[in-house]
Amino acid sequence: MAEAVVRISNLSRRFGSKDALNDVSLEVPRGCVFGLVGENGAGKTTLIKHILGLLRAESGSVSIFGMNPVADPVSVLVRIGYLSEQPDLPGWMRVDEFMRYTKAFYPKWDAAYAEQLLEEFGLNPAARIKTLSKGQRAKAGLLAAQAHRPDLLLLDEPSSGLDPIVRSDILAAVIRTVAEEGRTVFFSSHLLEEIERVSDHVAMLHQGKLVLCGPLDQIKAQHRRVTLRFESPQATPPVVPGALRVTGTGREWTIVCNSAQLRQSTMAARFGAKIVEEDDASLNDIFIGHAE
Amino acid sequence: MQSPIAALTWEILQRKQRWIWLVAALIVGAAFFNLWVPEDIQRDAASNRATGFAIVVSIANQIAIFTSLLLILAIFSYTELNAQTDAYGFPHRLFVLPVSSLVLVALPILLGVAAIELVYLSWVILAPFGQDGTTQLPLTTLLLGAYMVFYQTILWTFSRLRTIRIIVLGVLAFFLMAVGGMRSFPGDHISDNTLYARIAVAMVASFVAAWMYVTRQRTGGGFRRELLSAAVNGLADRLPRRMRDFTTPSAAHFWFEWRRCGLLLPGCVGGLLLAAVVPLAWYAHDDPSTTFRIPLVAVAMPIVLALSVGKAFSKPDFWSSDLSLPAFVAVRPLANQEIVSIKLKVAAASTAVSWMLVFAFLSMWLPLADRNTFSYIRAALSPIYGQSSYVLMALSLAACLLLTWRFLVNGFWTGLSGNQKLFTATALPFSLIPLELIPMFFLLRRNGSIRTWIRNNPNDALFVLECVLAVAVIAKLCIAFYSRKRLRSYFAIWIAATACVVALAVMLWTGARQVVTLEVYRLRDVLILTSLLAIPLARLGLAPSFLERNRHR
Repeated sequence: MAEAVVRISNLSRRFGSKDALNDVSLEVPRGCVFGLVGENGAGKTTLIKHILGLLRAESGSVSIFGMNPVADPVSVLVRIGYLSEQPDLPGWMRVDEFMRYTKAFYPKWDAAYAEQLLEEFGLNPAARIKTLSKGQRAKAGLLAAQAHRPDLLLLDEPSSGLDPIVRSDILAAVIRTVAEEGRTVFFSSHLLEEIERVSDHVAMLHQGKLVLCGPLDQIKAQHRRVTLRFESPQATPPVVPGALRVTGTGREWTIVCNSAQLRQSTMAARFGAKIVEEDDASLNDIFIGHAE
Repeated sequence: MQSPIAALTWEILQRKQRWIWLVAALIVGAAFFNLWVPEDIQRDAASNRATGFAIVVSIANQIAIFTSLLLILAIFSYTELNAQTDAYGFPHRLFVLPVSSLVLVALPILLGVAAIELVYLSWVILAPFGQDGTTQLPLTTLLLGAYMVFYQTILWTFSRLRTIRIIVLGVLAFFLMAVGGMRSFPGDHISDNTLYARIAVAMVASFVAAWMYVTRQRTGGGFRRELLSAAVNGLADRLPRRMRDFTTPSAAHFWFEWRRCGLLLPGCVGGLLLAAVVPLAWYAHDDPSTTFRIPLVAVAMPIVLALSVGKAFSKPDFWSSDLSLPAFVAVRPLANQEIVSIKLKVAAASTAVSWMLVFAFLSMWLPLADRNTFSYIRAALSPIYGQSSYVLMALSLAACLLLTWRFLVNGFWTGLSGNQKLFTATALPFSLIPLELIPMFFLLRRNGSIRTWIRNNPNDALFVLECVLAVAVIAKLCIAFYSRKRLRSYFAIWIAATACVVALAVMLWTGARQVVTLEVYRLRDVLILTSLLAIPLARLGLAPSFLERNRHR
């Protein structure tokens, strides 16, 4: 495995009586696109804030590029490009002022690349940020996060609430970052098809706990989606050991399960059912299966 | 709930339910307390000549009355954060309810007026009130009702002013108190009916303004607002702006802070100079009686404004009520020490520009002013200071600059901490000045025991003051020693600034020792100790570590 850019060990965090993060451990290898999924309130933003050093680890540890982001924020943040769901950009600044302001903090700022992105995103340099649409604001934030060619691009639900064109621009930027430069991208999203499209590693948070973490291919290979047809209608869902999710009515039921725990043919025979469809489970199926 | 009005009333009262219980508890508690107090003491407490335990009864009641009235104001601050403007104003979520704007506006105002009248009348029945209190009952109740209407109107219509609304509301409160209080003094006053009618008209006008504003907001802000913002933006577009790159992160962040909050003090000073002081100076330039007042007002203005602006200046974001460090700043690769240092520099620049405006005004006004007044001052100072008068003036002006800067930076340790409770607690002494004046008035009233003791034993009083100041200086130096690493670069500035203030104190003492009958060396020590406290050191040393806790929660 490549050297880890982000290393989180046994991280826990409580907000009042709520466990925002519970004993989370993960590593993000250099040069990968790491997708973080989880339902609302699962702890995705809390985890990202720990990576940025905006939250102090209550227990456990967080190491970014081998450094503690709380103890040495300057050395860590100078190598990170960050874009949040609602970019907290100052509305009074103009786009060109915002670029000049951001440039000052990053010695590796690539002015030509920034200009290229500005043109690609169709942003007016003289426009005030408060006059930009939500999509344009996200693009401005992405420009600032990318133009210094960060070692780690950290995106917290970057395309949430944006139209498909802006979402595709953002994904294209992520892909380019990895393909052309081999940098690391860590991004959280509700949109599982996005994660599935660009990520090579996936982690899934559920109620503050890490329920899945690993290479996407491996995770997908571990899960199967099987549709069974029964001879007679079933009043209740069949009880399948190891099943993450059982849906359907009457004679046809679909089961999402961990393939390692299940032998489909045996299972079908035991229930007196016939397998009519069998496929790799989508990330959406796996996510819902673990979240329910 | 059967009607929208009932539902809205329930919501308004429900959101600050605890405070409503607190007001009720205060009133019930005070009622039991006053039942327990003997009648003769209550009579004394209601009079202006209260002594002994009657003072305690009077102060306790006055504090309870003010607290309950302040709580009522807090309960009816019916505002919510508008994400579009990032300011607290009329709750926009109500705009989609099938209720007319008139009802939306009238309901909180009427409830507020009813509540404040109810609470005040409860106190009139329960607390010992003097003759003045009962004879002025109609006027006081009317003024309280009027204040509630103005209060809600200002909170909604001036939402973009954010925290500055507190200043407007404070000035209005003092004005209405003056309207009520002036009638106790002998002299010609307008008739009661005329005064009541004027207040009622102002209340109706205020209500209509609030109603129209909310109606316009409900339909997207209206045409006029667009014109105004277009004009402001047009003006801003014509102003020269920075086109060069920043050489360092600190320079970039200085620019950011300057644009965000540094311009405000010079803007206020310049605005007040142009709008009030310049016309006044021009109008009264040949009136010798105003000659001394004009420079006094001009010089006092930056200091007084810094005192009020400073509280918001100390927050991570001047215009936001949220004390946490904005993510936009928190993710910049900038050390906490550097962020504090930049804010200190912005405060210094803000002070310098404000004073440059004052000096520019004075340099234009002085040739027009009546010179004789200044001859009197020179004649008074020359026998004591001789040629050193100019040094005294220079040191005084330097002290004024330092005082302005001090008021801007003094609260950094609380503002940057992100701790709302700490921030509010340190703001309370300023916001509750009327409340604090009550016990002060009673304790230091004419012929009161403390005032008499101070008059009879001035040197003992000076000694007590000296001890208090000495303890404060020791505490300051101890805390500064604790945070010495963070103060290394600032220490030289503190030494220079403090030396300036100490030199001024010593010069003032040289003059004062010739006229006062106190122990002169003790007086000198008091002045020096005071000047050692003038320039912040310990609190600025704490600011980076407090900011660190805010940034990495």
